[in-house]
Amino acid sequence: MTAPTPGHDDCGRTLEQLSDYLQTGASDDQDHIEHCPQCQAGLAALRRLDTLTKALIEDDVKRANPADEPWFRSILDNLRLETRSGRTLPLTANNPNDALSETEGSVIALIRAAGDAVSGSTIGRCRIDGDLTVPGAPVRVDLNVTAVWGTSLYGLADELRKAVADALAAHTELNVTAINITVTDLATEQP
Amino acid sequence: MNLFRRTAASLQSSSDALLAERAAGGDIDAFEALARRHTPAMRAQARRLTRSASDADDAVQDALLRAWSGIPDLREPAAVRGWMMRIAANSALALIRRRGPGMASEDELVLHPDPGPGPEASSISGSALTHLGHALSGLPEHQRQCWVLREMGGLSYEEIAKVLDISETSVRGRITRARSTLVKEMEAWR
Amino acid sequence: MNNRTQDLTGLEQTVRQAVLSTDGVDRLYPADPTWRAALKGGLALATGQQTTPQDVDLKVQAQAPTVRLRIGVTGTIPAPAVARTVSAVVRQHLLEAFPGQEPQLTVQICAIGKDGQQQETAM
Repeated sequence: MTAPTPGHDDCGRTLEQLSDYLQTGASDDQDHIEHCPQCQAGLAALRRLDTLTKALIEDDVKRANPADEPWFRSILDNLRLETRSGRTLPLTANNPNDALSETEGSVIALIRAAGDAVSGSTIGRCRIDGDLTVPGAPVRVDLNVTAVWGTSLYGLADELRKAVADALAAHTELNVTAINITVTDLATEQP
Repeated sequence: MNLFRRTAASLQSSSDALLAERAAGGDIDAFEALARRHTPAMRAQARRLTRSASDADDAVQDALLRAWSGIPDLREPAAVRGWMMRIAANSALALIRRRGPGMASEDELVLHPDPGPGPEASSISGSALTHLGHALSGLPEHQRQCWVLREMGGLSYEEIAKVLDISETSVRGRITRARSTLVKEMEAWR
Repeated sequence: MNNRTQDLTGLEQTVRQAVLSTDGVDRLYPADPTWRAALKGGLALATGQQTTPQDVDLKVQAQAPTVRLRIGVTGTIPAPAVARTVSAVVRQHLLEAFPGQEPQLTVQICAIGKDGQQQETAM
């Protein structure tokens, strides 16, 4: 069922056709649309609606900013109590009746923090590959980073590797066989 | 050995993809930065869908929880905005279904604020915005929902069809009728 | 039964304080991660409905006292060492309270290094 646009009964073109034309810039009916005064008037009306729509949405979004409203703060605070644990890394205990461990989540966060302490990049995705639930099993660390334009990438990779290796040596008992760094993006300022 | 924890504020200018990758790895500050960036749009969409400020907030809360939960499985970190908007749309629609018919408009004021001076540096008046907002509220619910999901949510016809469990043809038809009504009303008002 | 419960509460408090005063320990975390399921379930639970965190989960069973706890460490001392020290400290208190009963301890580190925006919850 097609709907005519205002004052459009004459040439019989539909709103949907004009809308599609506006959107795609092309139409089977292009010749007619480009020369018909009613169609041009319809297009102008649609363009006005689109402009107004954009402005309305922008206004809606501006008004909807929760900033520091309590409900918004509260949900973030609740999520902060979350510790996304992941797998469990065993730690050596002195007493056989003890089960000591650290979470994969805590180690990922550690790697991120160690990597972020190196200037010139920000850590993105961070994965530990290998069976880290088994003591001494070889594992590999894979990091994606966004680097700042102009940073020497080789120097950066070396620094990152060292920072991450040191942190893991201090705080885990992992057998890290490799730390792979991939620069996935560049940013003009500290990302 | 130095450890540096990035706060949400310091991550403000990071790309969506970077924030999504970090959030997927458990970085709550990165998730907060994403939330700050995209909640206004999620909330604006929820308000136009539910037509109630408090229901919209409930829907957005639900959506943020689901987003935190699901972000480790997000395949395209760069597409996180659209993903969050879709989750927010689903949360709002689920709430509307649970709420039942005819339970809207307790917070009309929110959606039809007093016309201000209008957007800066443009010829659009605040009252034009208010009038379009009224016209939008006056649409039949099915048409308005499709329109909101398309214009505010940025969903494709296919995605809208999936979300509302209707055919793509129906989606197209509803949006066409909505645009037709809106363009007539705004031209008449002019 | 009441006396027993009181004793355990006192002991839990003692253990909690001892853990928090251990060098390298930042804070305790809720012992049972299933509280998280409450968050996921529905809309109404999102805002501020805090379940009381069980920092020290202390059960006295027929064989031995069992303690589970989850901690965050500051990062100034290697995490594995802190875990071992904490278990030694807890063991000492439990042996005092239940002489001759070998405690079974579970200590898990769930954060390394202080969080810049750590919330001080009722711990």
